[in-house]
This record gives sequence, C-alpha cells and structure tokens, in this order.
Amino acid sequence: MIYTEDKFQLVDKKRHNRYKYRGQTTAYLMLLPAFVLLSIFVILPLILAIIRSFQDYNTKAFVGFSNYVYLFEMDTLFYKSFLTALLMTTIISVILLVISFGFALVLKAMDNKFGKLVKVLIYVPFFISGIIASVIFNLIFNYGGGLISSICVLLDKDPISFTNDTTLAYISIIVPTIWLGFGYNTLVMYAGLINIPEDYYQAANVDGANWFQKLWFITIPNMRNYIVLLVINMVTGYMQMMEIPMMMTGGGPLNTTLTPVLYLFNSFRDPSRPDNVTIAGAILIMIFIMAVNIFVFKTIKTRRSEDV
Amino acid sequence: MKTRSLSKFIVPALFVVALTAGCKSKSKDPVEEGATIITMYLRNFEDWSNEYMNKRVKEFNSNMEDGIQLSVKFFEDEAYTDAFKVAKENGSAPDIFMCSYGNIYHDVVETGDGVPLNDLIKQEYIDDISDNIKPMVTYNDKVYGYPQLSEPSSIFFYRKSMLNTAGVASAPSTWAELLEACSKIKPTLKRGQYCVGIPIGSALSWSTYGLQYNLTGGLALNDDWTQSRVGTEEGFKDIAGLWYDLYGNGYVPNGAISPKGSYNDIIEGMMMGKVAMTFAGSWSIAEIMHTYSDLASDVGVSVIPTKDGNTSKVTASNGGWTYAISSQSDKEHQQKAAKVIEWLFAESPERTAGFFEAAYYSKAAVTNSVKAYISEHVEDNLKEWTNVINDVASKAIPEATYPWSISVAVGTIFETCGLNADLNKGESYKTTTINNAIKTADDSINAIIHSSSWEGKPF
Amino acid sequence: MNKRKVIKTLILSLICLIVVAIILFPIIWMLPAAFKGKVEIWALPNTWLPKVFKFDNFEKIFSDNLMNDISFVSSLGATSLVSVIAVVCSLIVNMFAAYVFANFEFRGKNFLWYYFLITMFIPGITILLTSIRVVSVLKMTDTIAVLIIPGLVSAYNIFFFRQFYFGIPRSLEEAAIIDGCSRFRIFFKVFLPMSVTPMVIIGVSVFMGYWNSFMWPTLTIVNNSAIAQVMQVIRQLNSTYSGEYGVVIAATLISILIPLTLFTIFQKKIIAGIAISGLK
Repeated sequence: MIYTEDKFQLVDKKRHNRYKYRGQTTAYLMLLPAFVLLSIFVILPLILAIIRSFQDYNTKAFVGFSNYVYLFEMDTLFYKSFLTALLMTTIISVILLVISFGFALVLKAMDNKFGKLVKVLIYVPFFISGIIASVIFNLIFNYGGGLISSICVLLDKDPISFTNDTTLAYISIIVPTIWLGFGYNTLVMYAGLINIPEDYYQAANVDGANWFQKLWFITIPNMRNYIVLLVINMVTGYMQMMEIPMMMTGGGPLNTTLTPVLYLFNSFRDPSRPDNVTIAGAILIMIFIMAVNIFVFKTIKTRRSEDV
Repeated sequence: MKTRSLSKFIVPALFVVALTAGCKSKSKDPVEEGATIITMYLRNFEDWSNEYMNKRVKEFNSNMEDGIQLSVKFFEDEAYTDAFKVAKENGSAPDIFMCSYGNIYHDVVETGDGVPLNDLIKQEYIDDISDNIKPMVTYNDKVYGYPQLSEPSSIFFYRKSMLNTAGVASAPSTWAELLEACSKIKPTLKRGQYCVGIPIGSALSWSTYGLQYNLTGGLALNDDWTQSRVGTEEGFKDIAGLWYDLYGNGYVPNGAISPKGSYNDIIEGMMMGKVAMTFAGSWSIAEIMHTYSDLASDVGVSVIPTKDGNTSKVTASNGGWTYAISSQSDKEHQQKAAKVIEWLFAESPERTAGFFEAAYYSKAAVTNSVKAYISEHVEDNLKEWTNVINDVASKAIPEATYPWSISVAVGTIFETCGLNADLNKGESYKTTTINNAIKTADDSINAIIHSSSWEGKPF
Repeated sequence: MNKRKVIKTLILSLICLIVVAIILFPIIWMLPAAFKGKVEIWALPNTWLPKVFKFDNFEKIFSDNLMNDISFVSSLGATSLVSVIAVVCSLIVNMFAAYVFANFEFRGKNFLWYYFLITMFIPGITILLTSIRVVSVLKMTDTIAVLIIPGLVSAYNIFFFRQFYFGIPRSLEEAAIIDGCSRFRIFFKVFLPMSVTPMVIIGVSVFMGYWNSFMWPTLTIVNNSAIAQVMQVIRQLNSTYSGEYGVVIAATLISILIPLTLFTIFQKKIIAGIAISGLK
C-alpha cells in the first residue's frame, strides 16, 4: 500500500524528461488546501502532543521520559488495558477472518440474484456507528430487561448479568463489534475470491485436486493481500476501540474490559490526572499501531519482490 | 427504474425536512439590553430538580434592572466534565460552576479553578452557613463553594408489602437480621427479583463512607494522610465479608436493576419491584414522591443495618453540592456571579426553601436562616421519613476529600469480594479472597500516597 | 448431476438465509421497542411487540422539552448540513491532491507524499487534546467550522483516488494537452467526469464518518446546542432516558434512516467499490 508505483518509469526516457516538472505551479496550488489543512489539524497537534508528553503538566518544564515511566510504574491500568485491547483485537480478528472467509466462499458459490441481495443485506450494519450498535445490543444484553435475561427467566433461570463477569463482559463487547464488521470483511474477501483467475482451478481439476487442496494451494495464497489488508484494518481499528466498551460495560467489571483509548478518554475527564501522562499514553498507542503497519508492509513488499 | 426515481426524491426531501426543522427557533427568555451575561453550568438531576432550577433562572432573568443576564446550561455527569474541561482549555470557563463537598479541595482550590468567595459574597451570608457544613467548604479560612444542600448518602428503604409476604416483621437493624430477612424473602420472590439492592462497582465506594466510618472510626487514610488504614482496620474486612455473603447467597442482583444502573437511581429498581429492600441516598424520597407517589404508603425508611445495630453511631456521609466562581472570569463577572449565587441560595430564605419543598425535604438545608424558615413555616407531612433523615444527617460525616483513585481502590475490595463470592468453596476461601482484596487495595493506596506530591494532609 | 446442483443451491441458500437473519435480527428486535412505554421496555420477561403501540416516544423526540435546550430535530438538521458540506469540500480537496500526486512531477513530491501518508497512522486519540487546543486558539470551538474543517483531508482517500487515476490512460491527458488545455482544466474535463464511481464510494464513506462522529463533536461543541451532532445527542439521551429507553430507540431509528437511504440508492456502486478498494 505504501510503496509508490512510479508510472513514469513505464514511459520512455525522452518523454519522461519532457514532462518532468511540467505545471509545477499548478501542482503546488492544487496541493495547497490539503497540505495546509493537514499541517494545521494533524501535524501541528502531533508535534504539540510529542512536546507535551515530555513536559510537566503544571510547570511546563521538560522532564524527559518521566510521563512515560509514570504510565508503566504508577499506572498499571494503562498497561493492563493495552493487554486487554490486544486480546480483544486478536479474538475479534481471528473470528472475523474465519467466518467472513467462510461466508465469502458461500457467496461465491451463490452466483444468482439471491446472492446479490444477500451481499447488500449483510452490509447494512456497516452504516451503523458504535454508539448506535450499543443502543441496539443493550436491548439484548441488558440485565434488567434484555432479551437474554428474558429467555433465562422464561426458562426459570436467573437473569444473566453481562457486566458482572469478565468472560460475559468480553462477549457483550465482541458480539456487537463482529456484527458491525462482518459485512465489510466478507465483501472484501468476496472481492478477492472472484479476482482469482478461473484457469488456476481448471488446471488443478486436471491434476485431480480435491476441494480442500484447491482451497489450501490456490485460494488462500491468492488471497494473501486481501487478508493482509483486512488484518491491518482490524488491528488499527480494534486497538482503538472505545465507543462499544464505553457503552456496553464502561470498562468493567474491575477494569477487565477497559481499552487503552477508553482509559485515556476517562483520564482526560479526570481532573486530578495530569493530561501530559494521558498524551504520553496516546503516543505509545500510535507507536504500536505504526510498528504493526510498517512490519506488515515490509512483509508484503519483500514477498512481492520474491514473486517477481 | 421506479424505485430509483423514488429514492431520488426521498433523499432531498429528507434533507429539506431535516434542514428546515433545524432552523426552527425556540422561544427564548426575555433578554435584558446591555446586561452582563453570567454563564453557569449545572448538572442534570431529576426532572423536578431541573424544572425547579429553570423556573428560578427565568424568574431571575425577568428582573430587567439588575444588569445581569443569567445563561444556564445543564449537562449529564460526563458531559459536564467534558464541557468544563474544554471550556477551561478555551479560557471560557463558566462564571459559576458546581462542585460536590468532597471535591472542593481538588477541583477548586488545588487546580485554582475557583476563587475564594469571601470578598465576593456578603459576610452575613457566609456567616449564615451551618456549622456542620462550614468546614466542608472552607480551606485556609476561605470559603470556596457556596453550599446549596446536603443529603445523607445511605439510608435504608424497603417495601412493606414484600417484607410482610415473607413474614419479616420489621426492618433489619443489624447485619445478622439483614441476612436472616433475606433468607426469608428469597423463597417468596419471582425470577428477576432480589432481596436487597447495594451499590455495585468500585466507583460507588463513596456510598459506603458511612459504613466505613461506622466500623473503623475513619476512612481509608489516617488523619495526616501518610498511611493507608485499609490493611490495619478490621472494619474493611467486615464490610467485604457482608458483600461476600450477600452475593454468595444470591440475595443481591448481579447487575444494575435500575435503568441508569447507578446507585443514584437505585430506588427505581425497588419501586419497579426488582428488590424488596435497598440501600439508597436520601434523595430517593423525592423520586418516590414525584414518580411513584401511588406506592409511597408501601415504602418504609430506616437507618441502614450496621454490624452491631447501634443507631447512635455514624451511618452515612453527607454529600451535596456547592457553587464556585471561576478564576478565569474578570472582576466584574465574578462580582455579578456572586450576586446570582446570593439571589439563588442566600438572600431570601423563603425563595431558597422552595427548593427543599420541591424535594419533599429529602435534602437538608445548609444555612441557619433557611433551616429556621423551614421549621417555622412548613408543616412536614412525611415526618416519619424526614425524622430518619434528619437523625442520620445530624451524625453524618463529610465525604472523603482524598483523591478519587483512593475511593476507587476501597470500592474495588467490595466489588472483588462480591464478584468472587462462592459459598460452596468454604470459609477458608472466603478468608483468602477477602485478605487478597484488602492487600491489593492497601498496596495500591500506599503507592498512591508515595507517588503523590502531598506530604501529609495538604490542608 | 442436476439434482446435486439443486441440493447444493438449497443448502447454500439456507446458510445465506440464516446469516442474513442473524445480521438483521438485532435491528428487527429493536424496531417495536420504539413504541414501548416506560414500564414495558424493561419488563422481565420482555416481549418483542408492545401490547399497545404508543407514539409517545416519537412525540417526545420531536417536542421542545426533550432535554434541556437540546433539540433532536435541530441536531438532525445540523448533522445533515455538516455532512453534506464536508462531503463536497472533502471530495474537492482530496481529489486535487490525488490528481497532483498521480499526474505531476514536482520538487519535493516524495517528501510530500510521505508527509501525507504518515498521517494515515496517527490515531485520533493521540492528537485529540492538542487538536482541541489548536481549534480553540483558532477560535473555532462551538462553530460549524470546527465540525467540518479538521477532518476534511484524509490520506486514505487521497490514496484511493490516486490509485484510481493511475488507471486512467495517459493518452487521454496528452490529447487534452495537445488541444491546449491547462492541466487544471484537464482535471475538470477528463478526470472529474471519469471518477464518478470513486466519488460515490468516498463520498458515502465521508458522509458516514461525519454522520457517525461522536468524540470530536462531544469535546468541541459544548456551548452551542443548536449545532449538537446526532451521535452526541443520542449518547446523552442514552443516559437521560435510560428509563424511558423507547425514546432512545426512536431517536436511533430516525438517525439510521438517512444513512440507510443513501446506501439503498448507491448500493450497487458501494458494493462494487469494495472490490476496487480491496485491490490496493
């Protein structure tokens, strides 16, 4: 995703030189709005954030890494919330990859009008925000009058509290998240599947390969880029999960479902906590997400060159 | 094709509807020409309370000669914090903001967000503040928040009919009686109903200050804030043990029974029949009278059950709200803001008493003049309840002023013991669970003390 | 052979039906709750349909005394306005940038490209606090500008358009240059008409981003409830009306109506767009 394909290399040298730097002023002018906006609202705040993460909140004096140290030594919650997010991201990503891949296979086989309708319908949750999804799922998971508690009562069992048990609290976050992401992931997988040339399979048929062998040796290797794309999306997105945990469990019980962003959001609200520690934590999250992305890009890039 | 042209019509229509509707202006209060605008942030409480404040604000603004236009904004709990923080960051903090007794030191004095009121509010009104409230709003001889009300945070409520059905003759006054009552009530309940409601979640530890003081004669820190008391005082273990037993026997609901899910509105769960008894704040009385008045005769009110049943001891903390004036405002705004506070809460006992009337006297007045006015002019027809409240309030302690994280650490003990309660695992498991929880809390409180910038109690 | 095919289709259809049912179930379960009163909505055991369909919740939503000075209707209007303006502006700004990166050679191109790309990996939370500081210094807090402007540029969208422009044959552009068109006009004459599909895809996603945004409006629109955004209002309704939850559900229903209508209109292009975006 990150490497640049220099189109000009495809054109012969002479023409390349003729076109090079043509219309530079137009280029700068057309780039200007985006550049200015990005600099003011993304790069500038980032620089300020980095500076503040090394400052004391009250005196504004530079204090080196002490805000970062505070996060790990004093504030075990940040570290814990980070592990929570890692665990949740892993669980959700694995489940989503498996079920959306499976269902994409089904969709590919369903090459008719009904299949088209199904594609549209499963995409509906993509248009729903985390806030709305939580409102909807509250009607299902609520202890005092939700659907699941109602079923329990009808079966003469005690209602289930999804906020008072670690595993159940995880479920009440994971289910809405999967519900929101399933449609998009499936359709990306599907796009990948239909892009695999049919002759690969025909060749395999000639060789007498069975369904599973075709899946393992043709489908999955050819889906690599799509899967990588989805994994990057999911890691970046789910490491920053905030709205659903906030609405469903509030991070409880005993902070077991507290995610780093929710933690930072809460501490931003807590007047007794220094903001600069909060910012330091947010920078650590950024570094983690960047590291994952760079690692993955490097991996595809080298693989690509091997392929060529 | 048909659906297409239809939808082509629908979207613009939706936008037009939405946009025009958005432009509809609302009726505004009369505006005083050239008046100074004083902004005030209020917290969203029960409907009746918000209505009362709105009414008073309208009344204030209808005076066109005072040169002050009061602009009030209500916020939900969290929205309040966000709004205040952002306004502060923008340098446009509200002229008047709210602060609870327990947070005055940290949120007003230490942060410097508020200014001392002594030079702004007339001395006679400051002298009027009741003796038990004054120390809660005074730091370094200066008053930082003008008090509006005080309310004991833990009283015991029960449904007479549900207790009768179970053959429980009177409200429990000791823990033993409480557990016994629960064991009798439990068989009479349907699925989804529970015996007693207690505060759930570590953040609600403020509602157990009364119990903590009752058993240990103090709260989580020693007098000079140099040491945690959690590990050394047996009382904390006792409360944890009660929580363990209540959860272990399935006497308490596993999650929130009131829609909002907080201790503040736990009474709704009881009024909906989801619990037979509950711990709740005195403010619940107003909620009962405003929303469930047809059931009021079925509600009983008593002092919370304590370990020894001795009702002469402390059983609650006194919570409540005060109004502070922003340090970001200029002198003129500060003076006018002080005028507003005087008008609302100090100037006329009759006016101020109106609030307590609307609250069905579930809250206690905090100035001598208002107290006198109420006892003189008002005939209280909820005597049975208000007697309990006044009795509890008179002994109640102020809320803890140490940082919130220490309160949370204490609350975590109770939450952990409740969550891990399992009576099948026997007594030794119970003891280890409680001891572990106590140790964790003790360690983290001591860690907070060591990392803090204070050396001993800062005031 | 034929019989086997029929059975296969049947089984696949069944799987599809079940999956669709699971996906749509939460929404279907929610619909009647908008017509339930205070007691019924949290009754235990709960029922799908209310005993009597009441329209009180909708009346409440559209009434003037919903929540302090907040009006749900005006938040719908404000959010629509913000989202529509944002879509138009964001398309212009991002397409300009993408066009430049795809078709121009100029000094500093590589640096600028990475300068843009790096912003893709900056999580919102990292710059949240300092962004608030920046917009407050610019005196943008509580204005409609603070809702629209800071989120306009998206490196991801620039990337998306750039990839698309790579696919447009250069001969078209060269022909236009020979005709004497300026490169600025070429953008409008050649590239713009050809990019309707990516414009719809990105346009809808920008719209959704603005429509669903929660944290940013919560922290920047504090003292101007006339332009409070929908998600912000629903979040507040969620705590104010946790008892009369039907009110929250009613607001939720209305708030997903506009995005869903958009989706219904553009569904073909959106679904096709996923295939394109997957290609990267």
